[in-house]
Amino acid sequence: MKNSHVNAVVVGAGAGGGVVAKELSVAGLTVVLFERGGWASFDDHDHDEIFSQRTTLLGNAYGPDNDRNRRVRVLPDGKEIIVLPNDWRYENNAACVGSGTVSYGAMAWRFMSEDFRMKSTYGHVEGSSIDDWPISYEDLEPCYEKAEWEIGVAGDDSLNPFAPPRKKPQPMPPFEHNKEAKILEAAARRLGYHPFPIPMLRNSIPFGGRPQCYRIRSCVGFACPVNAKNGTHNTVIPIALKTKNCELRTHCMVSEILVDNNGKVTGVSYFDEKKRKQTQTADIVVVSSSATETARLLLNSKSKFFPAGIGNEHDWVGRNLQGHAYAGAYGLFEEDIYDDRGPGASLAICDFNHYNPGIIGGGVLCNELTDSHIFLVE
Amino acid sequence: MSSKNISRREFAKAFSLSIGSLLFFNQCKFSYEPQYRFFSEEEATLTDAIVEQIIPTDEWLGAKDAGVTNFIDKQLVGPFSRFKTDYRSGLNSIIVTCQNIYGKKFEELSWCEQTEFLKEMERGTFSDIESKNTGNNDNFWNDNERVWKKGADRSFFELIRSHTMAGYYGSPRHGGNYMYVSYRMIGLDIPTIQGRNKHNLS
Repeated sequence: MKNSHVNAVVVGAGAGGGVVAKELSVAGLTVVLFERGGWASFDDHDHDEIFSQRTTLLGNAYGPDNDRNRRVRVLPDGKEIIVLPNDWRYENNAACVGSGTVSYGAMAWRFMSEDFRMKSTYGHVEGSSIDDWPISYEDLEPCYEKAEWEIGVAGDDSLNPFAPPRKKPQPMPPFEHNKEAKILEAAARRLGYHPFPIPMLRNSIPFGGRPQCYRIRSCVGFACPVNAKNGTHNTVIPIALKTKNCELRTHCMVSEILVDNNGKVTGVSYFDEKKRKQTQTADIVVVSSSATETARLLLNSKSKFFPAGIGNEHDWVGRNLQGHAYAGAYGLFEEDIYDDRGPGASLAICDFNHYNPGIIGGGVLCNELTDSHIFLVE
Repeated sequence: MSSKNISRREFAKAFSLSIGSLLFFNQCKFSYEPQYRFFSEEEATLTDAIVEQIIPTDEWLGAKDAGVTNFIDKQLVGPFSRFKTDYRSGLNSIIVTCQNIYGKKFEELSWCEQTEFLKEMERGTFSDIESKNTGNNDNFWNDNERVWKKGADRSFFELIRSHTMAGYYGSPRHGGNYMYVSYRMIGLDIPTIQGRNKHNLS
């Protein structure tokens, strides 16, 4: 059976794709939203220590599953190996409706103005590809505000003197600190820093027809059992589906962006739930499949007009990938500092975000999301 | 006095009922023999001995009684299926090496001998050609060269150690951690940690 033509195809129902699908379908366009995973729920895996999104020994609780999502990884010596999605070398991102927004730790940071002007701020940095963005913080500010209010963020930027300017506060008040954050807060103030509560995509009060967060410790790596964590799966995607203009096709892997003889994109080909190859034509194709899969799809879409893949005239697609890099430090206290109030991460300082002499960039410092009581490294 | 008698009688009645049902099941040829999905009986017995060395019984159940072998066996026909060859050849290599050195099965060795054997595995001694000239009989080392590929003893030890920890400390729903033994040992609330129970919204 042939699929009927639509206005737009959106590849990937995650943080980006969910938002785009909603905007397009509310504007009256017909949309097909593709997702390689399915709907995920907390009850599929409960609070499982060895089958979550962070400890993936037995698999990724929120996808991708090991059956059809293998990747080839090239080792430093040039050898190619096939890695399974639950292998750490896969650099996994969740594959389900909502993707990472289902199981994330849900911090809701805005970039600072300097992040858009890295080259202007720091000059050329030898050995790096840092540059200015073609858009500025001011361009994105209304979008940040819209996302914060439509998806739901709890926080209070007024306590952070380094926060970029905003027109409207976050829609929910910040969370009360847990015990360890209270200790850290006092210590940070003594040291002259400026602690504040981390902006979070969790409900500090009932919001969007869903309940208040009840602060379990196993938050990051898991779906929320009471639906108090906000992602695209429980906000914008349901709105998109409600318009009847958006059709969500789960367990479908888009394999190629199709291009006609004039170099114009005509749609995508994909493998459906039963691994049959199908075609979906569209006026617009939105590729929102996260860093790795977006690059892979573009590179796999070779044609007469795009012999090296779409958008890859300069061989930059798939290069300069930056993972989720962070450093941690542990401390041992004489007294009990643990009060079992999740998700752990509670307090941050931005005192070291930019303008550190001798350092390019910098970063936020936070207390950490609670680890599972067992922490396994395969 | 009479109430005590009655309760005792009722207890006896209930007890005989439960015994009766057990007998009934036996008559249905209900088998209580362990049924493995991947392991042979021999491999399972050996795995029991190895995992018990890694987490021995003290005041708490050890890995063997906590069902770690069952956990590994269950995962080997699922998420661990890519380790099937490692287990089949690793366990076989242990059987052969033990036979060569001691003329016995691993599980028949004394506790200390078993520990020593695993320590040698962890060091990679069995596959290390350099340490061949230790004065042991030639047959033993020549055989072991063929039994273990370079580093295979060490990597198999690390594999089974990590899987033992996962089976012992992970959720019981995967076949190990019998009766939440590790949770109780660590002092975690059972069935779930306070604040994690989804029905406890306080």
